[in-house]
Order: sequence, then C-alpha cells, then structure tokens
Amino acid sequence: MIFPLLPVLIGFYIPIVMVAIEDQVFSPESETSIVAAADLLVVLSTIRIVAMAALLATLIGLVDAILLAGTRGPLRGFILILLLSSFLIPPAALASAVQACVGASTLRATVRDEFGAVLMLSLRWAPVAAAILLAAVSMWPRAEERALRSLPPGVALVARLRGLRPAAFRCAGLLLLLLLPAAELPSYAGVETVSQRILARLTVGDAAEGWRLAMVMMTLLVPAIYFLTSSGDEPARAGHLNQVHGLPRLPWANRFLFLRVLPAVALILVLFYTAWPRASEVVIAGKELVDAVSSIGLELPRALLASVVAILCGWRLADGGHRIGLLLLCLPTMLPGSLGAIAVARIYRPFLPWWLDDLPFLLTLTQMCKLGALAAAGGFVATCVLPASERVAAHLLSPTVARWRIRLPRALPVLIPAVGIGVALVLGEVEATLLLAPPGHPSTALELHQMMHFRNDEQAARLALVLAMLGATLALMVGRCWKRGD
Amino acid sequence: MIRRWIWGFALLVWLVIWLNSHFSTDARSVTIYCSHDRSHSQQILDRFEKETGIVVDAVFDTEATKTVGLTERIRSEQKRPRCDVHWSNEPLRAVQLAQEGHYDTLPEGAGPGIDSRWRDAGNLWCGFAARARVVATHPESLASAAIPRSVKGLIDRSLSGKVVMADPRFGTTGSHLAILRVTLGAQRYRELLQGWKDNRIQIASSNSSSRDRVLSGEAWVGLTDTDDVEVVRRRGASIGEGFLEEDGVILLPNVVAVVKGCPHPEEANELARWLLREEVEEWLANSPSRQIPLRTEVPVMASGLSLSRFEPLEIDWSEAAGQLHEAVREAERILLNP
Repeated sequence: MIFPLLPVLIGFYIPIVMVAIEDQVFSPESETSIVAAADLLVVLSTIRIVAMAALLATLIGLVDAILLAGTRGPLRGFILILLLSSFLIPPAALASAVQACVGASTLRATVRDEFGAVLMLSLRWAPVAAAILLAAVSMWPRAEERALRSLPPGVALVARLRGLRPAAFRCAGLLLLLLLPAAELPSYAGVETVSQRILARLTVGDAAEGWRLAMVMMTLLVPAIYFLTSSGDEPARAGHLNQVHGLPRLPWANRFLFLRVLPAVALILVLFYTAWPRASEVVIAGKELVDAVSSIGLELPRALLASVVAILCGWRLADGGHRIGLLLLCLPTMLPGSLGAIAVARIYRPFLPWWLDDLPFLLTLTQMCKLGALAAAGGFVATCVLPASERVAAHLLSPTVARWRIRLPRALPVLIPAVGIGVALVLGEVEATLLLAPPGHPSTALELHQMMHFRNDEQAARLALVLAMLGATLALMVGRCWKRGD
Repeated sequence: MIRRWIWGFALLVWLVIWLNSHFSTDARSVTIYCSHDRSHSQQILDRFEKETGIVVDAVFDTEATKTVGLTERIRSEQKRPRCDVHWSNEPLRAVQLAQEGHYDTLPEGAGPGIDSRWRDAGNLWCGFAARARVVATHPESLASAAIPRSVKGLIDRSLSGKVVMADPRFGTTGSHLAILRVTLGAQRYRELLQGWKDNRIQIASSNSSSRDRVLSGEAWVGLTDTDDVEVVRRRGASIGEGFLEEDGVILLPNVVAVVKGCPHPEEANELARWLLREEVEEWLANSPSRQIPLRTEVPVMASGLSLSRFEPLEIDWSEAAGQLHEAVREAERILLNP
C-alpha cells in the first residue's frame, strides 16, 4: 500500500506536518482559540454552497449522459466535444456571463450572491459530471444494454436513469471534494469560502490559524470520504455496444441537446470574435498564437505525466481495496493548493540540488497531490466496473500479470477520461504554479488570469481559444476511448 | 514498430526543448518577482534587458484568483531565495517583508530625487510611481452627480446596496483600511466599517471586479485604484472617478527592494537602480496604468496625474503595516462574517 501513497506522503503529509510543527499549530497556548465560531460558520456555508453546486452539476451531467448514451441523432460527436471542451473556457469569462444575468436580478443580495456562486460552480463542473457518468455508461453490461434497446424509449431512459443512480451519487461526492477548495468562482459572486479565509489568514501573517482551520475542515470531511470509498453493490459490468443500432431517435432529446450546447457555442463565438485581429495586429496576433501553442505544448507532457501517475496511484489503491489509502489520497484535494505549495517550498526547496530546483519538480509533485480525489474516484469506479467473473479468473494468474495485463486494461475506459480531466485541471492550476514554478516556466492559466485582470481581452481570447481547442482534442480522445469500450 | 520509434523520437525532441527552456546558459541574469501589471512592467523589463544585456526572469502576480501571491512566495523561500528583486505594487506588504528581515539594503544612490517619505529610513525599500485610491462611479447613476469625497460618504442612505469594494483582506483595499485605521483610530474605524455594513456594501473579488460591477451598473460607486479606472477608459468605457480629498488622497507607491541572500546580488542592484530612474516613472505615468510619479519634475501628459495635483495623506508606513493585521481582521469580522 505504501508505494502508491509515496507521492502524497512526500508531496503533502510530511511537509504539512513539519510546517505545522514549525508554525506551532499544536502549541498549548494556541489551543484556546482552535477555530472561532464565525470560521466554523464559513466552513458550513462553504459545504452548503458546494453541496448544492455538486448536486446541480451532477443533475445536469446526468441528463446529458443519459440523452447522449440512450438516444441517437445528428451531430452527437460534435455535441459531446462542445460539451466537454467547455470545461477549459476561462472561469472569469463564465463568471462575467453569469454575473451579467444574476447580478442585476431582484433577488435579495445574499440569496443572489449564493445563487450566482452555485450557478457558476455547477455550470463549470457539469461537463466533468457528464464525462464521469458517460464513462460509467460506457461500461454498461452488454446484455442489459441490449435489453434496454428493446424497451419503449421513455421506459428505457427511466431505466438508464435508475441504473446510473449509484454512479451519480458517487459523482456528486467527488465533485463535492473537488469543489471544496474553490475560491475564485465564488469570489466573483461576492461569496466567501473557507479556502479564501485560510488564504486570508496566511496573507495577514496568521499562518497557524490558517493551518488550524484547514485541519478542522479536513477532520469534518474524513467520515464523508470514508463513506464514499466504501464498496457499493454495483453490478459487474462489461464492455458496451458501440453501435447506435437499436437506440431511439427522440426529437425532443435533439432539441434539448442543441439548446444545452448553445451557451458553450455562444461563448466560443464571442472568444473567436474578440480574438480576431485587426489588420494592423495580424503579425502580433500570429506570434501570440504561436507562443500560446508552444507554451501549452511544453506544459502538456508534464501535465500528462502528473495526471497519469496520480490516476495510476488511485487505481492501484482501489484495486487493492485500501480504503484508508484512498482516504489519505483524497484529503489534499480539499485544501487550497497554496497551503501544500508553501509547505513544500519551505521544507524541500532549501535542500534541492540546483538542477532539480530549476525544473518544475516540486510543482509537479504538488499538482499530483491535488488530483488525489479524482485519482481515488477514477480508480474506485474502474475497479467496480470489472465483472466478478473476470476478477476471479485473474486470481489464477500471478498478482503482477493479473494486475497489469488483465485488470488495468479493463479499467482503461474509466482511467483514460480521468487522466484527461486531470490534464485539464493541471493546465488550469494557478495557486501552486504561482508559488512553485521556476522563473521563466510557462503557465497558460497564470497568463490568462493576468490578461483578464488587466483587460487585455483580445490576447486573453486568443489564449482561451487555444485552450478550448485543446479541450476539444482531449474530448475527442476520450470519446474514441469510450467507443472502443473494452 | 515505426509508430513506437516516432513516439520515442517525439518524446526525445520534447525533452530536449523542455530542458533547454529551463537551463539557461546566459552568464548574467536576474530574477524579479513583480506584482505590477504585466503588460506594462514586461515592456520596462525588456528595455532593461536590451540596455544592459542582463537576462530578466520575471514571475508575475495575479490578483483575481485569491492566491497568497508573491509576498508569501518570498517568505516561503527565505532559507534559499530565488528572487533577486521584488517589485511590489503596494507598499504595506513590502514594509512587512522588510520588518521580517527579507530585504537587503538598496544600492547607494538608488532613486535620486524621491522624497524620504516614500522610502525606508534604513534604505531597505524605495517607492516610485504611485496609484491613488479613488471612487469609480457609474455615469448614469445618482452618484455621478455627487461623487463622494470621503469614505464616510459611502454610508449615505441614498447609496444603500449600491457601493462595492474589493475583498478587504487582499491587495490595496487591505492597505487602504490599515491606513484608515491609523488615521481614524480603532474605535472610529470600527464604526465606519459598521456603517458600511449597515448600508449593505457589496464585496467583490478584486478592485477590477469592483470596477466591472460599477461599469455594469450593478453598483453605482466602487472603491478602487486609479489604474483600474484608466485601463477601461482607454478602451472607450464611460466611468466616473473621484478622489477622496476630504480624507486626504491616499497614494500607494510601487516599491522596489533587493532580497537578502539573493543569488545574483550584483545584477539585482543594477536592476533596482535602473527601475528607480526617472524614465521608468515617466513610462509608467504615460502608460494605461496612469501611475503618479513621485518626483515632481517628471513630465506627465495632459490626461495623466501628477503629484502636484493632490494633497497626499502623510502616512507612517511602519505604523500602517503594523495595523494591517488588526484592520483586516476587524474588516473580516464586521463586513464578511455570516
């Protein structure tokens, strides 16, 4: 169990404990004010907002997944790509669109702000929910899939909904964990989250109090995560049928899906319009585009490496049935990235050899730790979908062969989309990048934030378009992977 | 088989390019952590690079994500600094870093002509090119007719629910509050915050978000900085601006400091001295960030702002930095707690 936990032990727990000791988080005199009641209220309100957003995002993703998997119609591949790639549209662009609609509403200020925050978070994360649930659908048992296709369309959709219910609950749980450290989107709506409060403590020099607040939040959520990693009684699944033969054509489903992708299309068109250079700017715009592509090109393999290692660790722990291990893997996800990054910088950087210090080694390690919940969830679902008969058959082989030659290939339809989401998260990560990236290291997400802040809209739109194209490519790869089934 | 070779070759090419991008062979280089607007500061750093041949590796800050930022990065790198020069766009956090012993003394003669009230007595930091705290107003609102001239004006009932400010714990808003706490005293400061709270003040994520809410009409008055207003004005947006002259205009200068134990001390001194030249203030004054030169002799274009136009508030930087913690905690307790 220790080997797959090494990245998270080295990249999170050891530095966190050492910094907590250095900052005297556990000193006797500090115990009198462990966490103020107001801070606890912020923790609870964060959980409330994030839970609502996770549920709404899952609901949207569930409808998308059921309609995409259970019906057929024109341009489905294109719709899928548009839906999934919208995850890489800059949060600030999404936030300003939501604020434009919600901000001027007549709702009471606090309700309006919270509603705005929930809407922003759920719209941003609905594509991830759709991806997770489509991955679960793609592993539907062959016999069940055939039976569903012989039912009347309405009944079949309801049956699919029931079948996906356990996966949807787990998906909502995963989104809850991924959304907990959210600070940026809620702040656009004027809502404070616990991550903001922790960071505020650090910026004004109350490091110990920031750490204590982080620990309270982790402690509160341990039982929830432990519950999420309990083995469910999901049916063993096999590869799906990749032909559309037998799926119903439902005109209302087509209309719904067209309407559903309309905001993403509108946002991409606005980006395209903004990015389009004037005659005098063509050369500069071309150079910016080349720079953006090359900086993403340089970052992509590193993001892929971080994501693959994290997901493999999650799968390995799930495959071995190590619930405590999965719990340990999940915890770093719930804290703001800055906390882990500060701890790593303080504890390891003084001793790193110069050649390693010039590489984004610590950054990659920290980002890997931040993918813990995704890795645990990906590994968990991938293990659940393996048919019991195959699992038993695999036991007849040596453990290494059974793991890497039998169980891992069978888990790939779930693990590959998880790697794709992980790559998108690493490329969009800002907090650890700001603290740990070596000078001169390219970061598209950081550049995008700076451009948006100073209203360099045209440059930001060009960069965002490149990111959206990357999102489309990832979505295309993921879609192909689902089509292959096993 | 051929496919594998192609993949292997592609991986090798990427590895070579990637390693090359991280291991620079240049003999002279300097690393700067810069929280000033990237689009303007990058041009200035490029000029330095061109003039001196010293390669500048810059790390820029971002406000919108609520990260802990470059100040915390300098703290976390204390045992092995990576940064040579710190260019902070607001003074109080820099003063705190100086008090904590993160800065070395600036080179002799750096920042000639800059008054002593804009620099550290021990020569650990020096200010240049300031921003002013202002109120931005929506042009079609009642507030544009009678722009508040004091922070107390934001308590006016006619502005109930229509005033916005950035999260008081970050950036220049935190500094503004610390300075208010020093000038008003703790009790009156808390009363002011309570007045804002009672008047249902909106809290946005950053100064630029405050400005955007004013632009959209969601708020009529926004507490922000001059550069945030100017950036959108130059893009054709219509937005009003008023200086809080009854309180005394708060000018927050950029600050340059050399980090103690930095890896390139010679180059760091050269860059610090270069950044504190008159020309840099002039460029910043005429850029879309419309900074205010701290030397009265620096020429400013007609639409720019010069020091002689204001009656700047006298600020004890050490005292204000010392009060930052309490000011922010009280603002959090009164304005933000549920």
